[in-house]
Amino acid sequence: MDGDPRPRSSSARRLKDISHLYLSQRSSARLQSPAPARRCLRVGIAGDGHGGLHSEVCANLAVQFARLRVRTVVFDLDPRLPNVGFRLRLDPQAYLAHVLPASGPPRVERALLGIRVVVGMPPSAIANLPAAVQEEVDAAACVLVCMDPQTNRQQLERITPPADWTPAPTTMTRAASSHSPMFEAWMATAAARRATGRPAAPPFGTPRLLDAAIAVGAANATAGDAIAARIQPTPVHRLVWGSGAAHAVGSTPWAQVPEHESAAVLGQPVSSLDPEHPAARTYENLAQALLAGLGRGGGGSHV
Amino acid sequence: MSDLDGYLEDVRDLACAPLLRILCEQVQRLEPEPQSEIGAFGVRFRFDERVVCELSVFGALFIARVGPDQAVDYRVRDVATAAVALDHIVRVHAALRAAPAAHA
Repeated sequence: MDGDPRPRSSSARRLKDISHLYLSQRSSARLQSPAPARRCLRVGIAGDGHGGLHSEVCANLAVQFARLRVRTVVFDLDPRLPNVGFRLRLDPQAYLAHVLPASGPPRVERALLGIRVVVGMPPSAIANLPAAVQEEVDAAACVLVCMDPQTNRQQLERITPPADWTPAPTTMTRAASSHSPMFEAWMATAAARRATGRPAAPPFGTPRLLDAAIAVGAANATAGDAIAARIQPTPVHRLVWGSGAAHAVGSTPWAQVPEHESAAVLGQPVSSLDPEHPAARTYENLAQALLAGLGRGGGGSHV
Repeated sequence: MSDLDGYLEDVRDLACAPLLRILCEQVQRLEPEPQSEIGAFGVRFRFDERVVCELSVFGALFIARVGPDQAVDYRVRDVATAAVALDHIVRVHAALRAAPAAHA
């Protein structure tokens, strides 16, 4: 059976035959970049001080990362209750370790879906992380930091040392070195999009403590700016909760989470209780977007 | 000094005072903040006109009665019981917050 009467031309050009028109002249073997070193996704989540929404978002993102089989460690720097450990169903003595007397040094506890939560860590303990906690951080594929309003760059430096942020060369960077007209057109398009209000990327090669930060509940852009000023040059994304989206002013929020019941009421985060809930789907998309921003797919590491 | 601080200062010599202070501080930091009330019963925290918990001191221990009906009580003399009581208080507060009172 031959449905296509046209003869197949042996000289038909395939993509690899014409790629030299817009990429460099190097052979395909040389275009293969070395495998990038294993990297850990580091995300900070801050709130505007109302109702602990940021710890709710942090708990849901942790669940979504666990469902994507990403080994996740959660640092809860906000001592206010209900904290992330509470929402992830830790035992009371574990998630209250930072306030109860004689709770011992900071340690890692396994919560819902095996998520690792660092408990018992008052701000004074940040300077010296116990070896066991440091090992967990080193082995993690994702570190979530639930920040309190006073969390600053110095505290984050002790938890997540600045990464030597030198991304592996991408197709775009290789194309840039070729000075092709097509690449110039791409760049012009990207610049036009950035001018429409998208968050500006940090200067290329700038070391940063977190890969991204999320400002939760910030209905106006200035609240997000305050967080950004403390932890620059980390890019800060605004996430608006529920009906707050209707009152958002300034630039368009990065994400809008449909209003849902708190884990404090449900007994666990909505992402684990009802994965098909619109809010859970939103959290899932956010987790995937954060992983994609690091250049990794969802099927990454182990839990 | 608030009424609550004055009360905690009055009972500071009792054996249960450190745990009582921790519980009160954590309940006060809940958002939205419950209103505290001092009386012969001890300390009572209310949210939206409904009782979150009531803490009554009895020397070496204090009793935490939790919930709008104060149906569950914990005899707190150690850290483990204090943790369970505080856990219950946080859950009750969250439930009250999620279900606003029907005001006449």
